[in-house]
Amino acid sequence: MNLRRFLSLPFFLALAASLLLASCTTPTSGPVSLYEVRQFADASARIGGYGELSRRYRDTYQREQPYLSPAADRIARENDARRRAVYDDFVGIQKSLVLYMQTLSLLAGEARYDLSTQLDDLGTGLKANAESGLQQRHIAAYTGLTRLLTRVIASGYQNRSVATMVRDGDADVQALLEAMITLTRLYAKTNENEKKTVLGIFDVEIPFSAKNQDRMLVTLAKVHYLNKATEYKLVDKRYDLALQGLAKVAQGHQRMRENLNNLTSDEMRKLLATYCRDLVALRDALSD
Amino acid sequence: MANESNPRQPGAAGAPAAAPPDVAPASAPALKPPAPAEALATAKQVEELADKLSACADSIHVRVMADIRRHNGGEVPEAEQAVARALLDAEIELRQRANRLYADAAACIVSSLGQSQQKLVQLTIDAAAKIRQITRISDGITLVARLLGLAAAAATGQVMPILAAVGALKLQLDTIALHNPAPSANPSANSSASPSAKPAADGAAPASDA
Repeated sequence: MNLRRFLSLPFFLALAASLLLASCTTPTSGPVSLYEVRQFADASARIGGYGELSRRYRDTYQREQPYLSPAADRIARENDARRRAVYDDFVGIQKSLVLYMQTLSLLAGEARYDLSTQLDDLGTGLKANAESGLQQRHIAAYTGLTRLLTRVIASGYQNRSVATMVRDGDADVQALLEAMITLTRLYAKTNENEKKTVLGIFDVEIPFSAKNQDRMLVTLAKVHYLNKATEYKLVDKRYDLALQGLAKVAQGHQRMRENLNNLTSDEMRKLLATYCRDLVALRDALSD
Repeated sequence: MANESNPRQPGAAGAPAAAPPDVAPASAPALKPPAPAEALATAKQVEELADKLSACADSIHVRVMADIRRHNGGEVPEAEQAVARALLDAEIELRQRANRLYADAAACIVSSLGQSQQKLVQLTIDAAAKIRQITRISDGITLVARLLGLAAAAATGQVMPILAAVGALKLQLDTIALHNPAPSANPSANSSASPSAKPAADGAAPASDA
């Protein structure tokens, strides 16, 4: 019993050492653990803000409706229909990006999971028509990334390395992130007009009620104004945070693309760890 | 609504024959269908126009608030209240028009507004500045109405109504120039959107030289 233990310990040590060596000498092939890549991919998959702000954009009309004149309301209803028509596609981009990052994370680790059910989600694709809300090249990027994921996931990962996936996916990942950044910027601008519509009415009407007999109404209006002003102030920050996060993911992925052959170098690991920390910090700020 | 959701033939963007003389030379080369790369520029241009309309709405608000503040918290006469409310309605409508263009930029539906884009943006910049400077509020109301006309036309993505609206807005700006002899050239108190206006307009310039 004792002897067997004695024999087996060095054996395992040797095995562990050889595994370690193997993982150092063949950084980009085989099922090596790329801890930082994995962490970065996980943080990128969980990036906050975009989904929530897409919903907020879709629901703009619900919030602004009570403040609109009949003339403005007519236009607002049309805008509402337009925003709703494209919402699914805006969310679809994010879904494909998340699945890509999840797959990358699995490739960078040793464990194997079955992601094939999530492929069904992507199957329908984006509506490639005038109302899809995306430019042709964004749709092409989406299709390209979906195809890549299908290949990688369907092959059970065996024949895919992290480096190959990053190399093949980068252009599409960048295009989709750019689309998300553009959309988030447009969300923010739309929100800015909503804010100024809602608060602007009180800017004008409260002074008009200076001599109003109905003090309670004026007081309520002031309270409402304060609440709304606070709400918009908090939301404004979220657009910034979301944009920063998207930019970080784009930068991090680009750096990996530029360093395909030294993903395990100290420098690269440190860099990815920094991106990772930043992404986690942004996510924490968004969930406050 | 019907014609807006309909992706138009880019060729129709030309329509140079009916253009007012001042915009005709610029809109003439627009017959070329936009290449994929230009589609992005178009989305950016649509967004830029929406930025300018938002800035005009900001100008209206600043102007209305300045008039209200002149009463130092005292009672504002009914007639002035009515004007302020009319301008506020216009401001809000303008914001809806801007949001429509943001939605269009996201959806890239509006086909090229043609080469009059630069001119259009410049006009809205002028309008935003004028709204703050005008001495006669009645000029302001007409100007805002013309601006709304332009915003509505821009939402159709159709060149003909846009050019007509551009003409009307330009005429009103000229009229105001007569009533309000040249003030200090550039009120730096403009909204944050305005400083970016110049380089952006310059960026569009090469296209109209083509």
